[in-house]
Amino acid sequence: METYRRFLVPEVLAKLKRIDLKARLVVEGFLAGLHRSPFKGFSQEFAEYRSYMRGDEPKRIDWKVYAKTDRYFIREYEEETNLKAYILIDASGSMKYASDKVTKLEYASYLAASLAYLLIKQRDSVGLVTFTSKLDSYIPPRSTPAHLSVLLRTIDKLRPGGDTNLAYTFHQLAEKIKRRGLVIILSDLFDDKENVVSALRHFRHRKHEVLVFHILDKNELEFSFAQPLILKDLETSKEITLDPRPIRKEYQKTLKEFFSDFKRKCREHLIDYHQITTNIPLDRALFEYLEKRSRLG
Amino acid sequence: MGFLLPNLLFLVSFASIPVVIHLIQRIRLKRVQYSSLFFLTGTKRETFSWLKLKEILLLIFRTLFVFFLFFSLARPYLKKKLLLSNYEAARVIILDDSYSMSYNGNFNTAKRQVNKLLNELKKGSEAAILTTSRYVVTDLSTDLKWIQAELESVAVSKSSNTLEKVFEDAVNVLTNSSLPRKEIFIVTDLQKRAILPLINNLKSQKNKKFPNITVVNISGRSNENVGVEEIFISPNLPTPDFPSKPNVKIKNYSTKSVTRRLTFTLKYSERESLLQTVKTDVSLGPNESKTVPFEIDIAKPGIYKAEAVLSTDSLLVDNKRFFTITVPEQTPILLIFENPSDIQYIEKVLKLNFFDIVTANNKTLRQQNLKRYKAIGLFSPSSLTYADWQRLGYYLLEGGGLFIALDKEVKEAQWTDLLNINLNLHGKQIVTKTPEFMTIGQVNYENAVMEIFKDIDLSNAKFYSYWEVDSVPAAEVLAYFSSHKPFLVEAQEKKVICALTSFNIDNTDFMFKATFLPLIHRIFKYLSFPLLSQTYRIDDTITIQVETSSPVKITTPKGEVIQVPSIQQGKLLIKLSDTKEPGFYSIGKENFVVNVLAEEGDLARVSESEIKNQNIRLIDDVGSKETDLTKVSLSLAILFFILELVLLIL
Repeated sequence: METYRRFLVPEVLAKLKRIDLKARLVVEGFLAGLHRSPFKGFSQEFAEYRSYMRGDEPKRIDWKVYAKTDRYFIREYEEETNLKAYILIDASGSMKYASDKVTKLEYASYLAASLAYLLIKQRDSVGLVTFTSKLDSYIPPRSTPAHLSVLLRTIDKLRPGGDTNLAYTFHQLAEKIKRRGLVIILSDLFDDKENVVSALRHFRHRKHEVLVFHILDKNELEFSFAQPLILKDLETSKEITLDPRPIRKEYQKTLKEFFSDFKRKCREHLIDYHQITTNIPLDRALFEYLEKRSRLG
Repeated sequence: MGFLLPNLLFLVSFASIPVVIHLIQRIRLKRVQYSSLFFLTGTKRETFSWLKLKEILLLIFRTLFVFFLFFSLARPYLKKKLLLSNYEAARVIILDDSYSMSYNGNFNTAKRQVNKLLNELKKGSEAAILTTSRYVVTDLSTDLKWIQAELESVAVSKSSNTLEKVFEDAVNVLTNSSLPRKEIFIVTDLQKRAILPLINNLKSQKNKKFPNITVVNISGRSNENVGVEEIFISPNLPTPDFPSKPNVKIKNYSTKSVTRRLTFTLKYSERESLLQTVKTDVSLGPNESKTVPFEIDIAKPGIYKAEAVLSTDSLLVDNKRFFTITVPEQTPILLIFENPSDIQYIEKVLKLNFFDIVTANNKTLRQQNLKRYKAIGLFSPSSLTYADWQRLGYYLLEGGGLFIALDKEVKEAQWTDLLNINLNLHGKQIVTKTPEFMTIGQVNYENAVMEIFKDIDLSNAKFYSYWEVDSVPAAEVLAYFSSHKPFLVEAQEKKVICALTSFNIDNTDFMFKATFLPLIHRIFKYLSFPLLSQTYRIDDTITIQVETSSPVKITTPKGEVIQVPSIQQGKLLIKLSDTKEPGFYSIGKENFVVNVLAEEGDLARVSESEIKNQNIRLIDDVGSKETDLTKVSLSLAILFFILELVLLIL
């Protein structure tokens, strides 16, 4: 693996202490990997011309310059946008779970930090919301580099705990955010499906674009426990004794049905839904974001 | 509910093992923190419910399986009869009819238990009743009504047989049955002396498989009984100079102090004139045995019949005991001598009393019919021929008594023959090279001949010793010389007393001493007393030899019978085997008594654990009101094991 890409692996990131460093390394690693990405430059202010290259969108060719020079040039603009992005991090107890080295919350933190870094770098405004059963912190969106530090510090200080009430929190937030923007949700979505979808629809109703990163641990999908055991709920401390072997298939089936139904409902309401597990590199999530960002124009 | 093997009941605690394992597993279960039980509890509640139920059911089935498995090992039984618990079996019932069973009406209770045991049998079953006295009342039969009718006629006996022989019979009877289920029921009062021999037999045959044994205990709580143990006279050889006095020994078998009135009646002679009746109150401590003496003289020749009767208690049979003694008159005695001085004083002494003396030397001896003499005194053994010794041998075999005193002429070879072959004394003899005077030393006062000399000094007589016997292992020594060598010995197998010295005046001054007369008199009285025992026990056979083949009158407590003597090994014998009733018996001129065994009056019971330890089921006098739960328990164990397997497969 190339050096800059190795920081996209959550386990490698976990070894680094500083969140800003993590975010920078992720984003730089990601951007380097984009390889002359078509996503560069979305602002309105002209910056420079550059030669057309294969892969660039033809609509971006400056035909006037072509008429003068008989060569294809692309106009590049200074990044300047009025996009306001809100990163919502679920810090409830369930996010503390890790079957390996990286907890779901740590993964969400890396991802949130990286997104914030990327957004600020693109001069978008980024706000941060952390929540459990209620809103824990709300940092309004700004686009200054100093703001990034605030965001990263807040993310770094995040500690999991408490119950989840996604629907209530989302409704509360939907009412709070007046100006339309991009809402990025980082959560394991362990709550009543109908209520959560209803809350997400509230965001859509307020004209927000919604991007859901459903963060799960690999073991939550596979349920690969081998022996009878007592499972303790990280949120409610409730315990259950079970032999996982006979119920594994049933559990997986239930989970699959839940996800596909959630995904279908999100699609119906034009909500981007991405399920990611904590063992996959962060660039996939960033890529999903950029795709969404490009659609927003 | 009861258990045949309560000692194994502790194994039931093993049933806790599955529970303990379950708890340990729960404790050892890995506790894992999980993000949310949202999908586990919310979506598959029914799966969990089933799993939890399955786990609980498995635990219950396992626990019950182990419980019932070990429970059945303790052989449980229910003290109530369950419906439909009658079954087909071959059942031999041993009814203890020894006289201890008559205590407090126990025998009637026992018969009721036997009836119940018969009633609970299913049609097609076989049963037999055996008693300890008669052994077989009925053989195996399917006609249970007939068996019950036969049972009606069974009465408690006066016998005191133990249970081990009748048990062997019961096992043999059961071998005749083809029914698969074979049982032996013993209805008894748990008397220690009756049941212990059976327990010891079973212990010694641990590896042998017996039918199922059940003991029906019909004994009550109390066992208060006092019985007459023995009547005896002391000294036990009555003579005019030393008359005997009767004694009655009674025993209190209970653990309480009691007072009983003892009535002693003595009748004399064939006309049975009442001699004396004495009544006395006797107090006895717990388990105390006491001898009550009566100041009545028994010396005069004749037949004495005595009865000792205790005042009423709950066991009557042993309250009465009988005794008889015949003091013979004009007993014919033959004295054999070589030299008249050998018997000069002996003859005079014996003529003083009952003895009818005839003398003979070695020449006239062959003309004598030895059988007519009750005892023979031989004072010249060295002069006897081989044929004479043979005649004396036959005489001894037929019950005659022989007294031998040595003479100076006895040669060493004759000595050897006399002691070792004719008298079977196995003596080791040595020749005393320098004869010396000795006196009488240690005396065995336990012997019937010597018992009257307890307070009399015998040591004043002197004997000039030619011969000495070192030891006589096959004889009882009555008295020793002062040199600790035997003086008087009694052969154990024959009625022979031998003085290892000479009674010639040249040899001793004993005849001038006061003790000479009673000693000689007593020796001949002892030798001429009837050899036959006059006291028998219930069910003994009395055998006596008679002179003629003419019918003999036999008198028993039940009445008179006439019996013709039978010939066995050239002898005319009368055998009386019907001795089931205690009391006075006579065959011709001979008198006997038959008594119950005194020990049977000891009602001490064997402990229940001793019985149960031998795999014997013990039930308390409720006979048919019990149900064996062993099979039910085993079936339940199997059922729960199968259920567990089914649950594991599901």
